[in-house]
Amino acid sequence: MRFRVAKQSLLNRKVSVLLTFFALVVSVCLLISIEHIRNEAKQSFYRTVSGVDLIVGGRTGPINLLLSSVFRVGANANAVSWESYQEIIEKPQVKWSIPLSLGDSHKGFAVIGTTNAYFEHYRFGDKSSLAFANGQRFAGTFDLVLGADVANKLGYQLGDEVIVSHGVGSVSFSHHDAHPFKVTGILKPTGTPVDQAIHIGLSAVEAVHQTPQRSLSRSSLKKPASDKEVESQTHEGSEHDHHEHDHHEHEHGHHEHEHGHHEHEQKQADSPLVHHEHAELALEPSQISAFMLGLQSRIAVLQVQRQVNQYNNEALSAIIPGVALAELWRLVGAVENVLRVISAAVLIASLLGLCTMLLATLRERKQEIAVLRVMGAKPSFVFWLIELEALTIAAFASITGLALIVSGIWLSRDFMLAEYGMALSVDIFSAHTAVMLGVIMLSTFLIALVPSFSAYKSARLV
Amino acid sequence: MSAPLAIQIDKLRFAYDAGKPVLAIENWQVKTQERVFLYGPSGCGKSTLLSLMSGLLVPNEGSITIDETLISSLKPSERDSYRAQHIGVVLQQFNLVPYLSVIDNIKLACYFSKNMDDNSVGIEEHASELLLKLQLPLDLLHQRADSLSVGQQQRIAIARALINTPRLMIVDEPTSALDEDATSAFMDVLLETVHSCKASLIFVSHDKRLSTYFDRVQSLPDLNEAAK
Repeated sequence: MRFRVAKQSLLNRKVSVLLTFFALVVSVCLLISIEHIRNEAKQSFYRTVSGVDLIVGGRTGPINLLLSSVFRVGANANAVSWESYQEIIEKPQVKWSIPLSLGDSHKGFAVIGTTNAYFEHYRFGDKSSLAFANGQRFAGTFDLVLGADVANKLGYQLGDEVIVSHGVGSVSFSHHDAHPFKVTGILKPTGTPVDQAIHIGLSAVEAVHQTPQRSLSRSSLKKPASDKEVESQTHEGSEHDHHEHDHHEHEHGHHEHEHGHHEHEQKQADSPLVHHEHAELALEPSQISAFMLGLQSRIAVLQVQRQVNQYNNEALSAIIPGVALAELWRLVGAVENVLRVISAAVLIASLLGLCTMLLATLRERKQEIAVLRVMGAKPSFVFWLIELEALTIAAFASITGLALIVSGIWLSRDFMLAEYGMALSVDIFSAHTAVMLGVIMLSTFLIALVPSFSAYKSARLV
Repeated sequence: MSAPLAIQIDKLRFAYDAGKPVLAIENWQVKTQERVFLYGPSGCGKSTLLSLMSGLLVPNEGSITIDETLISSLKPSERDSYRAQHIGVVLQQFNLVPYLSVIDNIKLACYFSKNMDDNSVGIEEHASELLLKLQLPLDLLHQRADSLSVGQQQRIAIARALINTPRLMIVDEPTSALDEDATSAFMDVLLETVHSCKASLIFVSHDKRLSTYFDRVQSLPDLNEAAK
């Protein structure tokens, strides 16, 4: 009976009830979707890398190293010398390693020099390994494997020839026309920065950089298309010039070590880069940007990390990806708290609207309350009637809000995946959502205490 | 032992604000099934007395006994239940919840009196009987209360008040919004249905012409010592 009275009472005031209802729907949508996207973003963030025990690079902060090695954002100015790399992966605790050479780009996508160990050992999400949509790993020096997004955006297919340039940015300073790469593999989408990367063999990076004199002279002779272009590139260019010199000063020394390195390469990857038919494959880099380590046991992680951090020959940093990810998320997390505060404020505003609506109608309901009392209603009946009306509006607003979010995600998720690489799940019914809905209902109850008590008091005075 | 009294008032004192007493009644009784016409000018405390008798207000001093129940000393929630079950109240106007249908108003009265275990078909039958007695068309049952004319609403109010077969009917100026023809028609059906339900009736009005319908006429200013 109580429900019937509440229902009819709400239907009797359709316009104000509907307006209040829509205000609540908006805030429910905001609150739940922000919570959902926050969760999803966090999930996909933590999914970027897994199964890697340590990431080692030149001495820098953990977040810096994580950003440059995993997210390919920014650059770590300090490289790791090839000798140090070899020495560290010689340690008995080391199971596998992935060397990474960063800093090159092709049409705005990061070019990563690595070995086939990358495809073997790199993990993301729940320890999923990289899978090929098409083609295979590196076979020759100038082979190239594309991330899913790169293949999609640039429209490259297996067998296409690609020219890789040195430097970061979509318009690069120097083009290495001499070394066209061939697309031999395209990876399946992962929803991680891997999708945005172009992978080439480590030795190919070396080969690309092997002709510095030629490419430097070419680029300095070449007249830039416009002044604007020069401006945007000057900074970048000068940095990379230095870089190139560094690379090549060491080069001579390393050819002598060539023999000894064969053994190390056997260890670092199942299918080593070394193909004897290509002379270039014998090239060894003087330095790499960073490397990822898999260890024999997780217990060794802290031990190896300490050893790397105290490494004598070179200043190195080793980070545990999970720890660094958490640290980075804390930085990013400040933004999500702002969003939460905003959506909470919107909820409070619309609940105050609900409260105002109920209070305003109490005046015209005075007679109705008197009738109820005359009929034998207790003041508490009137109290619960008002509460019930408020909670009914909130409950319907919550259901409508959830339905809107689910259908919104359903309709937009292809777009979100294509445009932002964000895989949104339709499943919003998590414990988080339940807590949110509980909070909404509880705050509705609390705010509706104001009109309910007011009605209760006027009922007692009848 | 004499027959039980419908109403027994002893040494009643009531004031809204401390100081100026509104009602002071030494002793007043209404016999069972008696029909009493209570009159007096506006502002003499008629409505206040009705609120006290129906348990919406509590006296500052003295006691009110309805049908052997000392309602002035019941707990508030017991008073509300007692009113729902045993007292039918009809006010000047606004006796129905406007946005509910007629039948829902009547069911609500049953709900408050805990007579809801009567199946709702039973309530509808009972309500239909009352509507027939009140000479109202049955199709009113499913119309919204505020879509009815004032005269119809007042008769529905009688049906709503009588649905729980109360021992006491308290009616406050029910005809003030009705024209003369409607008034006499209303008075006829009121007295007849109250009589057939074997309830006692307190009828309050300032219009002395209506006193002809009643067994006993009581002037409130004569009774109320606070007015002297």
